[in-house]
Amino acid sequence: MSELKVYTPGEVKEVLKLLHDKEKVRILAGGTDLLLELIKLKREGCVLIDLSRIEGLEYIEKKDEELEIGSLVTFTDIHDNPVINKYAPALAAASGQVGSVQIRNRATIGGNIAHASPAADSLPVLLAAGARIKVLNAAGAETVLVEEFLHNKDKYRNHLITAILIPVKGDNMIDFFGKVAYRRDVATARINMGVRTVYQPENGKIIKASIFLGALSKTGVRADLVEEYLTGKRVDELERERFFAALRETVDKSIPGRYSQPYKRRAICGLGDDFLQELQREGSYE
Amino acid sequence: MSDLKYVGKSIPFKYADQKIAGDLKYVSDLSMPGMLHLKLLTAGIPRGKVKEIDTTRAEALDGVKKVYTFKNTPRRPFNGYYWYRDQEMIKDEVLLTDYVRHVGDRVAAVAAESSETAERACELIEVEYEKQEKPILDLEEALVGGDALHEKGNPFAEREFAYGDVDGLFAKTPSELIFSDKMETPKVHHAAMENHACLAYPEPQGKLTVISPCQLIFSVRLIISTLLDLPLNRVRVIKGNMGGSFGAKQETFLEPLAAFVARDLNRPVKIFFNRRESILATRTRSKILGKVKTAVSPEGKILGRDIDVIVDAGGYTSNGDIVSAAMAKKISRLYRIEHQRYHSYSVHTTTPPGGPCRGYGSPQIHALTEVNLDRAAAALGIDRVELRLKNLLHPHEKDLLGGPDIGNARIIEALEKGREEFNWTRKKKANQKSGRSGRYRRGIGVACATHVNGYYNVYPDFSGINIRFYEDGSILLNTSIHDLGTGARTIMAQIAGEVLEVDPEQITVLEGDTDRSPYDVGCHASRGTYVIGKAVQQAAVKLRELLLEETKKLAKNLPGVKPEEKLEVVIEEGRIRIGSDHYSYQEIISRIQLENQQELNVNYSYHSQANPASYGAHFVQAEVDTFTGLVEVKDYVAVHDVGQAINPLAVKTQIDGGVQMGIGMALMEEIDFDQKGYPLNTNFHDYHLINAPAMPEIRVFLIEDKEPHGPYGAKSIGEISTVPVAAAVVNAVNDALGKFLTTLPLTPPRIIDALY
Repeated sequence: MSELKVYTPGEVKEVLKLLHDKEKVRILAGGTDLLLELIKLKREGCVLIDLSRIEGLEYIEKKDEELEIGSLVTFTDIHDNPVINKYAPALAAASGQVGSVQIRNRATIGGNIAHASPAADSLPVLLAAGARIKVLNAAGAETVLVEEFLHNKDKYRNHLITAILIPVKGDNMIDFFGKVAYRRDVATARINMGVRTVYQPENGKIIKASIFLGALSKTGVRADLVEEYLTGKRVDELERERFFAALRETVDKSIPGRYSQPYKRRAICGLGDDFLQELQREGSYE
Repeated sequence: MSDLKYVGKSIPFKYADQKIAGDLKYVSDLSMPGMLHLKLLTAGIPRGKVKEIDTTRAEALDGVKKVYTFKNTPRRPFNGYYWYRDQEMIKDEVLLTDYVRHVGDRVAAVAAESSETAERACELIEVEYEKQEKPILDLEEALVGGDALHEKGNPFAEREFAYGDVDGLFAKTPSELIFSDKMETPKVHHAAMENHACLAYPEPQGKLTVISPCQLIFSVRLIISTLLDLPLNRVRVIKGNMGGSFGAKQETFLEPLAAFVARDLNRPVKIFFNRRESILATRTRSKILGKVKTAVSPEGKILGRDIDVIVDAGGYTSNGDIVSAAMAKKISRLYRIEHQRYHSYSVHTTTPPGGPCRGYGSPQIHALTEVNLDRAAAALGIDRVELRLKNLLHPHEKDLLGGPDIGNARIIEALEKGREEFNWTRKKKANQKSGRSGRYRRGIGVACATHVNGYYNVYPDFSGINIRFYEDGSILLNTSIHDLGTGARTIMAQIAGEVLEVDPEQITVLEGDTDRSPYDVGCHASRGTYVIGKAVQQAAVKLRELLLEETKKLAKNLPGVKPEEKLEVVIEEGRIRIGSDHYSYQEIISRIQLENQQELNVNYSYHSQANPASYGAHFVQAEVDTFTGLVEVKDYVAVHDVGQAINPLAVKTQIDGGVQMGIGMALMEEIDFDQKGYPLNTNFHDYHLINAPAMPEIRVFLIEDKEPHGPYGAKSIGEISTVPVAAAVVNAVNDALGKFLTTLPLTPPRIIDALY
């Protein structure tokens, strides 16, 4: 008979050993995604590694040009943290829109990345900022781009995410997060968007734009057409309709013929509009 | 103003503290020694004839007691809506079916030692279907397609109600004065927090007891007794604590199955649904497809109206046709319209059956007609509130369709009050100024509506009450009230307390138990306060009379009273005055028991004397994001003509909840199916309700002008509170967009689709 075994190790190395030794292992951090599967896991048999006694993964630190966030930091803590609000405001914003208050109080950023739901709210922001994660397994530590991790999830099976490293937002950057859901709160994103733009302080020209859309495919979709359109332009040179057209085209390319395409290709312009306003507020060059 | 002491006071609900602390035991919390868990296997396919069911693997599972299918359960057809003996109706449902008519249809059931085992065993049952048949989803196709789920074919019922000369009127009315709409309202899940549950257990001497969080214990008893061939005195049904119903628990289908299994295995049996089962395997708000044509004079007088409706009954008949009649009976009780016709067909589709749902057809028919009125107002250039005011009925005006007297109808005051409190004119001007441009557009909407107060003259509408004084002056009020979470018990205590001048805290109100309570037809049709409350009031009056009568007998023997002295005996402020001496109830009642050897106990049966109309006028300000199709309700005013609020807090909470349900119907709630007939949203992740952050503050105003036959002048609020909502919200969205969207709910994709 299959069974559910729960281990509650007190040290990271015990976690790594369990990850190495056991079959059908799942990690329990905040549990907000995992618990939905609990009945199934109980039935199929599973080894759960409960991280509630692991210490030292709940920190937020600024190190030079990077923010380092322990993987067990909750979304509530991220959303409320002044350092994150200053250096990664889009992540703070996205964290404030995950699930409900109760979910945000439990759910961890590490869990959000590991579970990697297509509609996860933290991912477009992390992807746009070029964030990396620290992973550990019995063989040792490794630092990997979130983007790479998401595309090679099998490779990182049986690893533990210990930290998230986010390049800080500089004074010449504009970060943005936006989400469309059918309800303002407690709803899964129909589409979400994370942006980091870098502009030249001398003339306000956008020199780099990094834009990722969520809830369109298994992993975030890079809006390369939109990036291309923005790059090299000043905010006052942007034409709304052309910008929106690039957004729509990105959606069309990602989900051609899908039932939700007609809606998402329009709704994305809502996020585009919000982003343009943010650009105008933050980036208008006088 | 009034000298009422307990009526009209916002007294917190009895048992509210237990609910909040999580101490109240719901049926799903109950456990008994030897109790088995019953789990249903629902079809999972929309339609098909069962060829074979192999239960051997399920039966072999450790802990499984027995597996049930159509082969070993009663085959007698029933209708879950059957609520009084000899009610005539189509009976086309069985406990477990061999022909699947919707995805939630009951195919098999497992009784096991644990709910997990029962669930696993269900997965081990192998059902082979002859073939998967074509689903029936589209209502217009169902009407003409010749395909049918039942013997009677599609449509299975047709109704027509008419008065005046509709054809003559439309023939002579110029086309520019005729306004037509076609409206689709969704199949909605009731979404009570508590899923369906019941517990059945055998008792000595072949008796069976069932605890059910239902709305009508005597009907549950009747159906069980009929299906299991048991006399009524061998079946006892007790109303369990309830976590909401909204009509979902007004039908009986789980109880007879649990009862059958409990008898078959001679063990207690509990069944408890999960959300998916509550969405698919219970009842829904009936979906309708309606067409309306209204003739209006250039000055805004509604001349006549012609309505055509198709009612989607789902896989089984249930009340599919009765809800249609209920819709018809609303059309002549709001506006003065001299020529009207209502025609309907009811069809079966391969979707979960429709059933009673708060408002019972009224939200649907009002959505159709109130949205249509806005079209007329726009075309004629008449303010939408003004147009309604020109046509609303006055108190005691005749219902031209021949329904019961509308009573002290105060809808005109309600609408005028709402216009003022909402700032209709100012908001309208502000919108005109901002025009219909920009990403966010604001609109305002209004809708009026009417609903019932029980069943007077149509169905049995009576209630028995037993009320008695204990010797310390406290009271037992034994009723068959079913408190659905509305505070009904508190309200009954307030009414009895007012009559008897006893603090409601001192009154215990019992809910229904078929063995111990007097008979009542059930808590539905908004009859709780209006009918049962009146019964309580009358019974309390009788008890008061009895108290005085017995006190007079006693008075002769009181110390210091001369036998020839004629004493005045009266009740004053909760005390009894005999001559110039005051006594507490306790002193007197104790003596009545000792000296008169008489219990102060009244049994009283009351049947309703009228069925006046309750009214509501709702005003909505909505903001539409034209980029994402999201709608936010910014301001909400609800005015209700309630006669007298027995408990204003209870009235306010009913309205809050009614608005929450109605906004859901307008904007997001719909059990949706793919083209093959499979459901797309069977949990609250995918089936969205309006949640607390999305709720506007509801500004409630009450018109309190007493209704002659209501207790202290009260009339209903439970259902009417949700009736105008969807129409008002849709009207606000349409106003914002300058369109007439009529396919509900107005989801973001539908709004976007209409805009681009």
